[in-house]
Amino acid sequence: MEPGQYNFNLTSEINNWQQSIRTGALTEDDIEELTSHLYDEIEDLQSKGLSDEEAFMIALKRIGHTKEIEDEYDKLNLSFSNGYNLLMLFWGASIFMLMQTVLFVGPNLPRLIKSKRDHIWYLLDIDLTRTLSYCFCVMVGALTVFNIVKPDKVSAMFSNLIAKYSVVAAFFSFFIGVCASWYNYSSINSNTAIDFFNKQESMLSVQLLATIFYGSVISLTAWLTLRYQKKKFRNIKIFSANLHWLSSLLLGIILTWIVNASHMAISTPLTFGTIIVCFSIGGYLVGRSKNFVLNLAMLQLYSACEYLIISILNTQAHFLFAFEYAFVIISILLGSSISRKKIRDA
Amino acid sequence: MNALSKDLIAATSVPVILSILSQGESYGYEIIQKVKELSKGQLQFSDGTLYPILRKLEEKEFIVSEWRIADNEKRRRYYRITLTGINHFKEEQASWGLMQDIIKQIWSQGNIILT
Repeated sequence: MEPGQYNFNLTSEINNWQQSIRTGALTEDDIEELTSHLYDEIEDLQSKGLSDEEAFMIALKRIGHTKEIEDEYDKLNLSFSNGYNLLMLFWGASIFMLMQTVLFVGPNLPRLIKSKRDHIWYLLDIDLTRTLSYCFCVMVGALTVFNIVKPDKVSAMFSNLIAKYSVVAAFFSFFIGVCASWYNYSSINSNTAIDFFNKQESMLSVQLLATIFYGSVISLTAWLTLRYQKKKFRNIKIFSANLHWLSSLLLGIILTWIVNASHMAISTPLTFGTIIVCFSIGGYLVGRSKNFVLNLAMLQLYSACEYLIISILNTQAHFLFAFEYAFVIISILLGSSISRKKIRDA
Repeated sequence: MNALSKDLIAATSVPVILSILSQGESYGYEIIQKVKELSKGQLQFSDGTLYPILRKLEEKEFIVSEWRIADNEKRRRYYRITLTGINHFKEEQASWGLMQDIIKQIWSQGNIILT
């Protein structure tokens, strides 16, 4: 019997029960599995002539107290609840970064461009900023009220959404994050820092700081979201075994951007060190997946494209870029050969 | 006979699950029904606590799971024992056999003496 065929009360009772076990320790897969167990038990009892309510009460007693089940999962999933908290933390940071773009930097863009031409040092229009601050307060306030009236609804909805579409969400967070951070950073860099200090060195340090702050928020949000795909969030072993072409591609993009960020420090040993560390880890992870040949090809695809474009645009430095790309390939092969050997030995 | 102690249930849960899965793939509800049937109602535990054990066994790569649509159109998670699981199960079987022998021998030596 399908859930829809039960009368309304039973379905809503089961929904309530699902809400009560939706804590950090249980994944969406765990909840679905327990629910399917509950339905099996109820059907069994109904076939013996029990009413919906009686069957539900007995099934609930047999499956055990919510607290007891949670405790068992908690013992097992320590890394899951820690990881889940981290994930929410980074999504929070990413959302606030995006809010900064949308509410503060965005509407000031026309002024920003104009002010750059006119060499006006301070550009934020106080009236506009004040209006935007009100908008921001209203939004946060509305969210808080909604959260009080319908507790856990927002976080449950959000958590369901990114668990279901984790690869898409990781892609989304990464690209929106890169655009937003570039936008936020350039508004600071092009106006305050350069005009204020008027020094090349200051500009570079602002660039470096922005890369470190924004870069870590963006790449860690994407990385954690990628791992929060149903059961795959729990440990690296299961995550890497379930990697597919799209998640491998995104992993390659994240790693390439970390390497790109290392260029900021203008230190060749650092760049090559970053390539070796990042891509051998990437190769190791992807090497554990099922279609590892295809996935490894996807892992290097983005950096291959990037180096190709850069080599065409900058013909003078193409030898260096080719050398960097060769290092990427060597690191990937190194990492993947280690993981393949491990799998063969097992 | 009283219900079995919690400690004994906890200690035996892994070999019991592996024995059932060594007879063929199964899903959570079916595994519990089998255990209950075999124990004739003596084994009392919360059904929900079986699933974390299955998850633990999966992480140790003793079993693998797969979501599939069952014959009755329901989505179910099926579990299957792996080669590593079978090897572990054989080791457990030997240990349990040894324990059983020891206990049997001691018990056959004489009656309980109350002083």
